[in-house]
Amino acid sequence: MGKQRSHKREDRVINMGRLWQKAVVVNNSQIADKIFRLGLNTEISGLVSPGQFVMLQPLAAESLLPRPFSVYSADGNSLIEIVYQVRGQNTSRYTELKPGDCLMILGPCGKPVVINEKFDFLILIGGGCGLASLHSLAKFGHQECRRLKVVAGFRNQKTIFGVLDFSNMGIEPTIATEDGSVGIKGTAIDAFKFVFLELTHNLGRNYNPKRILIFTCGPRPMEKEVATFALSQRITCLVFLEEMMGCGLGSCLGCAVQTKYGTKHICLDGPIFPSEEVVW
Amino acid sequence: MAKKVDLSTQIAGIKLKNPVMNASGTLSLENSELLDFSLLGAVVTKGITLEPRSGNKAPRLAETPIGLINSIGLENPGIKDFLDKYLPVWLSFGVPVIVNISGATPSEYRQLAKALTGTGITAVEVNVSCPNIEGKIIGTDPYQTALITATVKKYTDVPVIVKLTPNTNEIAAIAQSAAEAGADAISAVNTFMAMAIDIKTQQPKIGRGFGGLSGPAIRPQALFKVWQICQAVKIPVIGMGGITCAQDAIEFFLVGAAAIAVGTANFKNPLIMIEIIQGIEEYLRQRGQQSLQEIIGKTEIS
Repeated sequence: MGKQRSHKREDRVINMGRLWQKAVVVNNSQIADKIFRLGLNTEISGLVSPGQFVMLQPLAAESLLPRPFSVYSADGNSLIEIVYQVRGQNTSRYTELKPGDCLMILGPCGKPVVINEKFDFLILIGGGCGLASLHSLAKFGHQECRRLKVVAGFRNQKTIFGVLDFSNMGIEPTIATEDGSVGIKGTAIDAFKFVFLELTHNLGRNYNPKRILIFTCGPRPMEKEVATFALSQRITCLVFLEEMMGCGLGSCLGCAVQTKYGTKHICLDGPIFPSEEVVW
Repeated sequence: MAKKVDLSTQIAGIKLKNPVMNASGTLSLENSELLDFSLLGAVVTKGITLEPRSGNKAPRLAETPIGLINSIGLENPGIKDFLDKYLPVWLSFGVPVIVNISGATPSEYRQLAKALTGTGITAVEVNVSCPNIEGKIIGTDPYQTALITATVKKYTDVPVIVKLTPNTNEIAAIAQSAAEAGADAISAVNTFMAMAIDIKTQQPKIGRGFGGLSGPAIRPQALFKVWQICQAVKIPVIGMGGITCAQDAIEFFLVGAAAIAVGTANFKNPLIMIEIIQGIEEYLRQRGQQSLQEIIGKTEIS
């Protein structure tokens, strides 16, 4: 349990740097079928790193647990954005939030992503609303001459989101839709294989799997398929894992994942894990 | 000038500056960056076992209406790592530390009790009530409960609190059994066995199939059990079960609890225990009462 973390009290406080505070809603709008974008004014913006998430207070009267959401973007000052999918009572209530409304927020949660400089190709593979978790990693594509490819699978045209946000960063995502209404007909995996073939073809003799890093977020079966493929190609793959979460802090031990190195927790050790370590 | 209300209380011979502590398994060292532990009456650690435990398979949590089913499975680092790495940090906050212990056999409890002797902790909380590990819940059997209580009492140098399960119709008898075996205090209640099924997948929402229910959903039942225990024993009782605010806590004091613990409510608001302490003080002040002791057991039911 947390063998690498410091357990000196002072170090603990410095290590996590989390806040539990009131955030103010700046905007809240629908961007796709059942997908909303929520902007919150909070100091957490200055603390959060790519890959981390926040916990929002529940709004449904029956709910006791805070809700985890990846941070879609943070301006580093006072604004963070969350892209969320409406699934149940709480996310339905979130759609009713208006500018000026207040919400308690805990964060940043989870471990920040650190990318080794040897990777000069990043491939982000998103399945459905999983793309929302990958968006914050796009900034790594701009650093140190890295090249970034984004692959996203959606159910149909109505559920597509985020394309413009990546375009504005100069990245054109390769899209797949299950019904073929936009882009490649198929899943994110189909789109990825297309992109991968193109990549290896373009790189030719310069192709080196050790220089490629894949991040994936989406339904578990999809993530497992990506992980299996990456392993077969000897490409490093990092996966966002999701599990029913309690406190988001590391207290309740609810969000457990089994890894080759024992039980780990999404809120403390994740949400991103090396896919080869995960016991699928 | 308003006189400060005395919130102090006695549990097993220990004076606590206020009657509020966390329920085992709901507060970890990670909370200390958000909440000043030194403001609490006491802190209670997660249940520690002899050997490290990796806990149950996910999902370990399922929300139910104003409730939470958990099936953590006593994941913990084991007594050795706990003593080496974690206990020193718990003790550094300057607040009484109660260590919760759990075992499968009297021998395991004995070894845990011995290992915690002379470590500077305030008390041991004996978990005979976890519904999420193998075997029958010890706390459903008065004899087994007495045996474990006596074993721990014999081998430890600190007060022994026995944490009871509500999954019984005989909680009063079991509390009496623990008291007669030497328990210095009782804490109650642990979680109620419960279940939830996902009708989309037609599978249980909990990996193990079922777990323990906590939260406001259980409070009226927990309160009743605590009242039953308070009628049956003279030793102090730490009441818990769905407490989310000062008003809830006060109900438990009124039926006889000398202190209370807050568990699930910590997840929605990490500062809830501080608010509860303030709320208890406010309740007493508004009623012109000088101390918490004036309301403990005040409600009599004939």
